[in-house]
Amino acid sequence: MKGVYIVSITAVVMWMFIYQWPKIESTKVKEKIAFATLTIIGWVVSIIYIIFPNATSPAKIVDFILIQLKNIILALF
Amino acid sequence: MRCMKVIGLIGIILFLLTGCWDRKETNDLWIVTGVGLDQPKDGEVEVTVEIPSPSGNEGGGTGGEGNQAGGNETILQTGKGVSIPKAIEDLETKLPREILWSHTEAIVINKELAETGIREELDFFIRHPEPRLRSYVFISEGSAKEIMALLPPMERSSSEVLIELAKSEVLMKVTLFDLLEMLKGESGASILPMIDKLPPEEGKQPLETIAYINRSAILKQGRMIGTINDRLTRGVLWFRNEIKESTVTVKPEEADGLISMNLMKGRTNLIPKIDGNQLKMTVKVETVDDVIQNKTKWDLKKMKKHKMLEKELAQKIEMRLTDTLEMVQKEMEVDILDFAEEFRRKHPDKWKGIKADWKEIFPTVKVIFDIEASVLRTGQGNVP
Amino acid sequence: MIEKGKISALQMGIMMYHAIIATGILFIPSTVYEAAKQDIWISPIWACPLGLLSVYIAYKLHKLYPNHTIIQYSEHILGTFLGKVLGLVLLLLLYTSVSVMIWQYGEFVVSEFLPHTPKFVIIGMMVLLCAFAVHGGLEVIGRLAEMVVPVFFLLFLIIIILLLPDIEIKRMLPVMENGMMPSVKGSVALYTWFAQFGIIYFFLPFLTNREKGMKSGMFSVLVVTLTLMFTNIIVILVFGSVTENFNAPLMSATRYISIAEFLSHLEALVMAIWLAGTFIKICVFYYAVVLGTAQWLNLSNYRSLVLPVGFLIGVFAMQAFLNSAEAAEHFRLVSQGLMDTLVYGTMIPMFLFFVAYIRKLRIFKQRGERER
Repeated sequence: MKGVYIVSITAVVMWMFIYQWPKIESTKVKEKIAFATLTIIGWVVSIIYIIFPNATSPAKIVDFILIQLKNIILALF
Repeated sequence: MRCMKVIGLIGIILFLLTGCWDRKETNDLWIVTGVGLDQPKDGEVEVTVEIPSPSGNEGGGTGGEGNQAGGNETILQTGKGVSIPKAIEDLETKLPREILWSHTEAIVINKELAETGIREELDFFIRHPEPRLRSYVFISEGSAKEIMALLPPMERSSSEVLIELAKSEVLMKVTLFDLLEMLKGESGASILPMIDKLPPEEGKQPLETIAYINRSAILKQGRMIGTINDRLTRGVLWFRNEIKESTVTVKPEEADGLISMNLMKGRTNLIPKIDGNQLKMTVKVETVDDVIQNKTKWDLKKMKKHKMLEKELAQKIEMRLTDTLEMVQKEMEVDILDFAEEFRRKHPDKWKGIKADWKEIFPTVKVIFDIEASVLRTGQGNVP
Repeated sequence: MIEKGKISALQMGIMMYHAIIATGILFIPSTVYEAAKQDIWISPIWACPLGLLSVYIAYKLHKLYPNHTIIQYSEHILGTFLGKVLGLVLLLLLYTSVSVMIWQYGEFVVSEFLPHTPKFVIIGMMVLLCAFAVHGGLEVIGRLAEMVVPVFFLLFLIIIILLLPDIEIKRMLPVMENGMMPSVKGSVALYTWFAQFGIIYFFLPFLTNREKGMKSGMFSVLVVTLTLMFTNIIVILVFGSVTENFNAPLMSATRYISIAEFLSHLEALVMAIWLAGTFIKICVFYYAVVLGTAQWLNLSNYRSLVLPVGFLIGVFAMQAFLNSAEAAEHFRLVSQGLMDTLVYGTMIPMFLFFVAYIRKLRIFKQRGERER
């Protein structure tokens, strides 16, 4: 099942790549790098989530950081 | 590139056309109109569902020729389990189609089950997104399954009879939402209509009868503790300002017969007052009645008699309210009259001190009646 | 300029209205009820000043740097490195925030309407749809929002009118049973919605009539407050103390409508309102994230980032909370005041504003000394 997910996610990413890549003007290298990086980050994150379905999410990380910040601020005063 | 796009589009369409996960075709569904909950033995729930038969015109699809075989067009099925969902699972194994709960309009709970507590069972009906808050809740004297199995002569199904009876508001009418509100209320007491099987007429099949509301069940913290009869139920309705139908028959002392009056309008105001430690509740009743039968020789058009009649009426209502109070406040000690809410609303500050001991304080609340009864019309004519 | 489209101040106000109210009308009543009880309708009044403050600060910053968004002027104010760091923090918070919004959308649709549909389909469809809108640019989103408004108000009005037979005034009494504190405490949870008004720092530079930006923003805050009050009043009048037993009281209230037996099961109306609103909401924040990312990376065009960013927030949304207990934990934190929206909506702009103000003072001082 995980294999199917990984394949389909990869297909979606590939489709995005094929769709968007030629639309970026060839002179704009920065754009291309940004696009590729973000796409790869997205792909990697989704693969991580597929392999480790209980992995933490940004929402929970932000909550955690906010709690820590609150504790630090409370400790200071 | 164009080719790529077309392929992409076709891919999306193919993906979407595979279907919709949540489609529900009417002929794959069984629409439940009534649910009965029983307790065959401790820790077990039996769920009975009543489904209007969908096979009404299966044979002749030419239209026009409906199946008119009496009133019995319902299917009954039961399931057992330790909890409602378990029982429903059991039920689903016996039903070839999916159950649709969104048209459930009557929930009948067996007395034994109600005595062990209904709070837990209701949880299911709230959590599930389909059942409606407007469905009516009843408590049955016998088993709920039997009530559901009845084949009423005039309506399509037993639950329909119950719904119509509740809607007429002669006695209690409690929807799932009302029940929730009562369970959440300050007093923790609730009142539910109680149904029983009407004995079938002679010569009819034992099931060819209807269930009818004849009493009310009193619940304390979601557990049934007793019942009150129809007369006292109307008294409770008076207190709760829910009275819609009531016929009062008085027998004036000086007169030689009975006069019956029908309620046209009834309004009750509860006015709470706190005097030191003594809690007082003024019950202000305003009512307008019409005379529907006069068996006496009184000429009701005379002002004096009219006044006397009004006084009789007020006395009669007061008597009924006093009797109700005696039963509910002194004997059962359950606050189904909404006194707690009234005190909280009027005296929120003092209420905090009272709240904890409300159970002890409620029986000591002094109730003062202030009844204003008027007779508006005396009918379109009279027998000479 | 990275965005060539222009919207009017009114369109911005309407966009923000949808962005706040869409999820607000559904979830606010039960969230606030826990603390405020029958006074939930007062809470929006206490939370309203925060919205006004967010708008005010965003506008003040905009006045200082009329052609830049927050990502750009934070570099001016704090210097390149610190500015970039702050921008990154802001963006990450925005990414999280959008993912939570999309999660909420997906969760609600799944739990209330389509229990067997996989969530990734629902979320994926929404993100794809929003991607089209965001790709179209700010103008498209602005016009969409404008288009949805009449429908929204009409349906909202219909719902309220149809609920009128079921209301009971005494459910609202006693007003302020325990004084003001419960409603104030309840308003804390509302901050998360009102703080989101800060997001207008992404839109102010693209207004055709900039001087009206603040007015329209403030107006939007007030209309949001009024709508929330109305929603809360109607919910409390219909449901009273049972309000907290529902996840989305307005939804349940609409389900409860039954007029003459045939006019019932109207929850599709709420769903229509809510879907349209949520769509605009996600578009607004999605757009902000895309624009912010592009500006942070100094790109000349943001359109190429629309799909990858959408993919990323979609993935984050899928994973945001694994079950309702985790989500409840998150929303409990939010109702205690620990919210990300407050950080990016109000605190960061406020911080920037103070730094900018102090630096400006110093510049004036130096200039003054030199002149002397």
